[in-house]
Amino acid sequence: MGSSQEDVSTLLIAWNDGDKTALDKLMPLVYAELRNLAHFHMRRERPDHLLQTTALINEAYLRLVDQKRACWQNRAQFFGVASQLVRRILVNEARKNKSAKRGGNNLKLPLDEAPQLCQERNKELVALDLALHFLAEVDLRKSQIVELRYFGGLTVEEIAEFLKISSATVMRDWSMAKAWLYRELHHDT
Amino acid sequence: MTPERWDEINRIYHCAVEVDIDRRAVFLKEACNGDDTLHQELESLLVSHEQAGAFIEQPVFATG
Repeated sequence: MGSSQEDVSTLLIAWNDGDKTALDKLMPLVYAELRNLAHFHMRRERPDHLLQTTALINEAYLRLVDQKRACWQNRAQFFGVASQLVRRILVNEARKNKSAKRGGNNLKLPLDEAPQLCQERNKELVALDLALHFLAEVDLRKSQIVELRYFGGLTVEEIAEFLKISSATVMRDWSMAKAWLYRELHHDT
Repeated sequence: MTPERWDEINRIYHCAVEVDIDRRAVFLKEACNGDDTLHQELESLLVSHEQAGAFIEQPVFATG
């Protein structure tokens, strides 16, 4: 872990200092670590165990970032990048599961409610992801705030720090984004 | 949708959520000033605002 810890810390600091290319190098490193950790936990935990996204990102952060060099802003930035990646990982998984169910498996009847709930959740995740894409076209910042809070589990203060806006603005954007997304998902208008 | 239109929707939305729910319809009618499309857009957003409740309030969990 030593060298990639060095890399991630350096890249976070470079990005904070305004080096935009640092983000492109950062993404694959964080993605790989998140995937590894998610798979590691999924193999070890009971099938019904819930893996909390925030805990996962936090674990990746502790493993990838040299705590002696990192500051609070670096942590917010790391969570920002990780939130995008969590969204990508979860939505890809949900899409795969949806299409798997449409395939050869559909003769099997669910033994209890759990698989149906899971299917519901997969459908909702994919729909939310699509609605977020539409929202991003109208208002990128609002879609980022939802991504950071819902997929990354960031607090309002962390989002404010990451986007360099006030907490009050985060809350106002959140309120409107939530109403907008709810309408997209629940009314066919 | 133009950025100006979106800003207008944002501005009226944030004022409207501050207004008591039973006075909101009157407020909205005045704020939209005869613009039916704007009125419809805001009315549906405000209905969603009231209905949304716990929607996406809890961060997503990955089931393992």
